[in-house]
Amino acid sequence: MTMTLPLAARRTMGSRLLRYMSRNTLIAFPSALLVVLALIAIFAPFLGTVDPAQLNPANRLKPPSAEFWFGTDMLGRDIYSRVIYGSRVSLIVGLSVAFFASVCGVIIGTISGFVRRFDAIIMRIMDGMMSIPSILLAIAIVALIRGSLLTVIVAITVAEIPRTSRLVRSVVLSIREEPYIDAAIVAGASTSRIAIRHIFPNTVAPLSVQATYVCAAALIAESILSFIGAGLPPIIPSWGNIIADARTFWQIRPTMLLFPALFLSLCVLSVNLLGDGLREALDPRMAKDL
Amino acid sequence: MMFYIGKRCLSTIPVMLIVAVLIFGLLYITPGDPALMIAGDQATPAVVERIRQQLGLDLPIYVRFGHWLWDVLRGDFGKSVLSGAPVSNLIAQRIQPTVSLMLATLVISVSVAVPLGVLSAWKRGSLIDRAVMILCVGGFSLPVFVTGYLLAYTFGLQLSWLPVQGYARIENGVLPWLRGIILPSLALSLVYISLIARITRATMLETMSRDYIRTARAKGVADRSLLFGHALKNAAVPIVTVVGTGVALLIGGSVVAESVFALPGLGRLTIDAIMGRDYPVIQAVVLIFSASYVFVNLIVDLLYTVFDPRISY
Amino acid sequence: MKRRTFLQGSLAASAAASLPRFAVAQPASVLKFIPGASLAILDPIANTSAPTRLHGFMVYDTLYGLDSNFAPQPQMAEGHEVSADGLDWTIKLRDGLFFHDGEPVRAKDVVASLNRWSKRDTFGKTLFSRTNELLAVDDKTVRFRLKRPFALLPAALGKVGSNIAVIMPERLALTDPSKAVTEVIGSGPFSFVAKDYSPGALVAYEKFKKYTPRASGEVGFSSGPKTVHFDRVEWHVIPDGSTALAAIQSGEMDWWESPLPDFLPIVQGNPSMKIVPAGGQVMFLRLNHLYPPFNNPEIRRILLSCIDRKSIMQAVGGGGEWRDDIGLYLGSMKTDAGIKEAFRGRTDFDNVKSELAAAGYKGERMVMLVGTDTPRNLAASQVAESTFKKMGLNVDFQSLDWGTVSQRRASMEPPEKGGWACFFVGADSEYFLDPATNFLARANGRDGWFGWPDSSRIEQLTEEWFNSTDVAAQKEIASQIQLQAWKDIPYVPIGEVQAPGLARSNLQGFAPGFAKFWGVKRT
Repeated sequence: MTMTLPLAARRTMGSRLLRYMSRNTLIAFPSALLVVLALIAIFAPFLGTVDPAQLNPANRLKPPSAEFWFGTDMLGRDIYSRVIYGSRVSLIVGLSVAFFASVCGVIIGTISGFVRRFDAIIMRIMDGMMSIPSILLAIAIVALIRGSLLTVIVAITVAEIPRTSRLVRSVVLSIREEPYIDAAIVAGASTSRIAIRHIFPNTVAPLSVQATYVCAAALIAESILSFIGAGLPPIIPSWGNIIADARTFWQIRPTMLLFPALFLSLCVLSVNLLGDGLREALDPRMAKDL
Repeated sequence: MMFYIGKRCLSTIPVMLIVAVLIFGLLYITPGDPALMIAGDQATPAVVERIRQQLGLDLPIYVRFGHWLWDVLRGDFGKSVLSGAPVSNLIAQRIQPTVSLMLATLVISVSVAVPLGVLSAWKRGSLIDRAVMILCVGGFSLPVFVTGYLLAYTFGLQLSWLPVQGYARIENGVLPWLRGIILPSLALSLVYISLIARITRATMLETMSRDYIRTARAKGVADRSLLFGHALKNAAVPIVTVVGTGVALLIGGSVVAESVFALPGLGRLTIDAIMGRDYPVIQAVVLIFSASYVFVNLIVDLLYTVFDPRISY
Repeated sequence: MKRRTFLQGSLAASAAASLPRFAVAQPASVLKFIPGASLAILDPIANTSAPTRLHGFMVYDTLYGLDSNFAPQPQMAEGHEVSADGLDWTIKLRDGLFFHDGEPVRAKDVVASLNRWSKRDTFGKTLFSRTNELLAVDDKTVRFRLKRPFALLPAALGKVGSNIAVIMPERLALTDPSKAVTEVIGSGPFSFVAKDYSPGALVAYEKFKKYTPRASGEVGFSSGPKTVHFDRVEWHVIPDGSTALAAIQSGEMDWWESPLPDFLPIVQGNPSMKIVPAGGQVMFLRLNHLYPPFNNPEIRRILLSCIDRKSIMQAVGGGGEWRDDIGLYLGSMKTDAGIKEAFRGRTDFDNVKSELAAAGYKGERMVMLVGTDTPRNLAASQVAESTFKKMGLNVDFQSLDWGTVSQRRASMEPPEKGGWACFFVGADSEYFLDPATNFLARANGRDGWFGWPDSSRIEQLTEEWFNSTDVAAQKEIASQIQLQAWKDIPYVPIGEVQAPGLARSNLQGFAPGFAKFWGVKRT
């Protein structure tokens, strides 16, 4: 969803955010949870895990026990280790997509908003891309090219680019009208200088809100790709992959689905809440309403 | 006004053209040879080459694109590589479940989400408001297929109220059709409800803070009529916009819901086609999905004038 | 509206056909079946996939069928006469055979159909390479004039593995064998309802009223009376395993061809469902003999000695019934020759690594094609991959969908140009009965199946087997082929898994083997 957000002044953003976090559990809670998830991802090897790819068919589909905390899957792999290592992969997917979609959005949006000549054609292409349902586009890219971590990230990113680009463009267009940009132009600043010094900083706030939503969407998209069978290779443990493995067995071994789904949902929930929190923190008018 | 409508309608043409180029280009750059696929297990290179010529795969890309576009404009989507059936027949067979699913989802979502959003805005800051908002964020956080399994298990298997899968065509009876479509639409609605409830709440809050609502309130207009009469009417534009852009989300979700509930719709046709490298089918279905998105958003744009008389062109 | 009125129409027709006093107002009986895979190609000559074969047996009939001991019995044939020198086979068609378009089945339809079949099928090619002439003597009689005696002739015409020798009208049988026939007209117990066919979703069949089942005998593997107790059979494609299970649990579907073995315990605790005995399935690993590393026989042998058949079968067969001690053949030619010595399940991977190096393995990339949408192939590939890695093979595990695997495996190019080194696949056990049906054990180079093993010794022995008429001698030759196979390794047999179906318990009359819709009734 692209929503043009009124802008907070750059200088107060950080302090406002901190003040907000200390005051508001709606943002403190998800932040804390995400920090924990990030720590889990970083320190996965030290959390009592074994090699997530190590299989032993003699131990397949075991319920949770002292040895296998979350049970085992259909190849006898330890689901706990897979979920813990899976948080690495899933977070990498989520963060990479958020990052690359934002970067591409800034580049395309700025060019489109700043260079009149390209605006129409770029926006028509973005309209076209947006008309292709993003998940279909991602499925097609992965399935047709072959699943790997890179293709999955690229596929989801490509599908998200139109939204970030449009957002940045709308910000650029609104900033362009500001008197101080005119002043800079009159003072003889180059276009690229204006873009970097004046325009880009103003996109950071709305873009970071958008990036959290993109990140959440990417995590869900990854799980849907795995569900369809067009996701990461089955060897790589991601939450989506573990859930996809588990879905067939969920009547026999519900815990196999429960744990990865819990991690995924909690993570997406946190990211979404963080997005809401950021939006309210950065947008004084919305914050007043709460 | 008529000028605007005409202009807006015409503006869909370049967008659809770009969609067509994107779809065709994507399939062109991907590896995999449809001719090999058709030729099957024991084909000799000569046979493969003959099929390639029959399909026109040996022609330059722009010529093929031209041919394809011309055929599409005449309503001819070619033949399925996998089954040999005309693509238009496949689509005709599959379109009803998907359209039913989407319409039912839309009806459920709007009828649940708008009151929720209004309620939330009305009781701003209360426990109800918080609960609705958390629920809405939660709705985004659960993959559709997990919701689907849970619904099918609870209402299909345990309670036996509704079928766990399958689609009953509407011409064979409205009741069986309705029973079959409820669970998948519910599963799909969750995301949509979240989306619409959030935007309803936000816009309601915004309009309610406007001067004329304050004036109305000061004049003693009752809260309820204020909410539904004035504020909601003004909130209609953003709600309709979200419904429009949400169609993309709905299409993506329907692909999953159709797999979970074994609905023989366009979404499953797409997945099968993508997995089977059935290029003519992929091109046709993605084009149709995109066209419906463009079309819905065209309608949404035109609806603005209905919902908000202040917008005139 | 269409389907309902149509059904009522067909019900009326069936009521009219039977004697009036038996005509009871009853809804048309429908059997709802979930196939293991979606039916895409309707011609069992042009395509060898499992659903196409199943479809073939419903719509078409064969001259011979196999009984439950895999012995050929006349099916469309009344019987045959063989001349004293064994060179002239005269086969008479039985009375009352009709195609679904109402035309009677004539000898020239049989001749055209068998000619087309022989262009595609390996067994058929062998038969026709020994045939001087196949001709229609009169409307009901065909005659094979052979170059040399071929006792397996009825076995070939009644083979149950693809391609099956189906009989279709001459006008359709004249189609190019590599092109799929799209008009489905057979003389089998079911007619295909073209207007309801929705590829990937629904296939519908109706009982063919003019079909006359054989008067006597038992329902065998594909022989015996094909009596149909349903007005209509529908195949509903349900790609999601847990949804398919739920559909059987809730009674919305009647019969599921291929549940996961792990689901069977759920059934045992539920009186409304039952397990349907079906045939087994053989898992095997196919190696590409054209390029490194597996063009090197020594590397192939080391692989054979290390492969962990038990673990793979545990992952594939799960909670079901399976075994990991199979050789090349499962039928009358079954032999233990050399199995123990060949499959040692070695774990001394340090020695293995040095042996591989000594054999000339230089770390060449080993492309493994994996269809991740087929659970068994995926499970087998993942378990095997861990062994290959321990062996020090440079595995390139390529996650693909099965459609792509079937496309890629046809490539004779080297690995760097899209070629491959190995892939896992399963096939029904009836493909592995003896040297005649087991085309995977053939080693006729680039003319053979993907992987293109080339061993003149295996081919020579197979030829000897075909020429032999004595069962004891055939058995001896079969064990020699097997011993040779452990040296040349056309493919690596992993194990056999029983693949039972799942059905509502009110269905009865199931026969073993592939899903047969005749004989089954609802009580």
